[in-house]
Amino acid sequence: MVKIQKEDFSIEKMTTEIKALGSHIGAIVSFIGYVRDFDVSENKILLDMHLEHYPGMTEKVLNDIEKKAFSRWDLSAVTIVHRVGVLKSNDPIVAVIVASPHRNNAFDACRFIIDFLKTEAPFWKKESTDSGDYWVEDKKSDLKQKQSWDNHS
Amino acid sequence: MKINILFFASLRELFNSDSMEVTKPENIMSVRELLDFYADNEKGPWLELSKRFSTIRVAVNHSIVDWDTLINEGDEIAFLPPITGG
Repeated sequence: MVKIQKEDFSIEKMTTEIKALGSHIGAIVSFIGYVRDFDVSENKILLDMHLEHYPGMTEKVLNDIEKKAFSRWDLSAVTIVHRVGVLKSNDPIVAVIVASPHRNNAFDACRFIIDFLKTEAPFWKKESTDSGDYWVEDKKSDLKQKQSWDNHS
Repeated sequence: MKINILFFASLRELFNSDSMEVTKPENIMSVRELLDFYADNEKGPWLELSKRFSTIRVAVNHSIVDWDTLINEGDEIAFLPPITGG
């Protein structure tokens, strides 16, 4: 399941909903991404962050990533929720919850999904700081992380 | 042939617009040709967009595609600056 929303989410509620799908679920792994303030060394303060996306394409890409995960591992359910709009430091941005009969599949699929989301799903972050506003640049390390899955069996 | 062009994030700010409906120039076949055509003829933000070419991806009808992809009637063509979700 894929959700794009402005509102906050409850990881507990989503986990309970997924677990209610059945007693065959032996493992649930969840990832939560938060808005992070700058390191002290960067000498600036995050006022807020604006997150935008490409409605229609975002849902399609995330559903495709979910399908890929299902075809790669034995999974019971997946929930991906991503927030848009104005967020502040410490706010949760994204959650990926993966349920499976066994933990290894849930761990691997959760990481796979967030690695692909980071590089394929059309979201953009603009940071407002006390020294100006700017669009966040993409990270080479995120791309490498995603490409590492191509070499996995 | 009508097509719809979308701009997001930094590109929306560059164009001061989130979309434009245009008639595809007749001799233009691919998205790359479209970008080159506007950069040559319209200049302004199109020239700047073409300078950022190596960092930009293009999506047609919600799928990221190669720049050689051919344009069809009614296509939604989106220029995507570097993606930074999650």
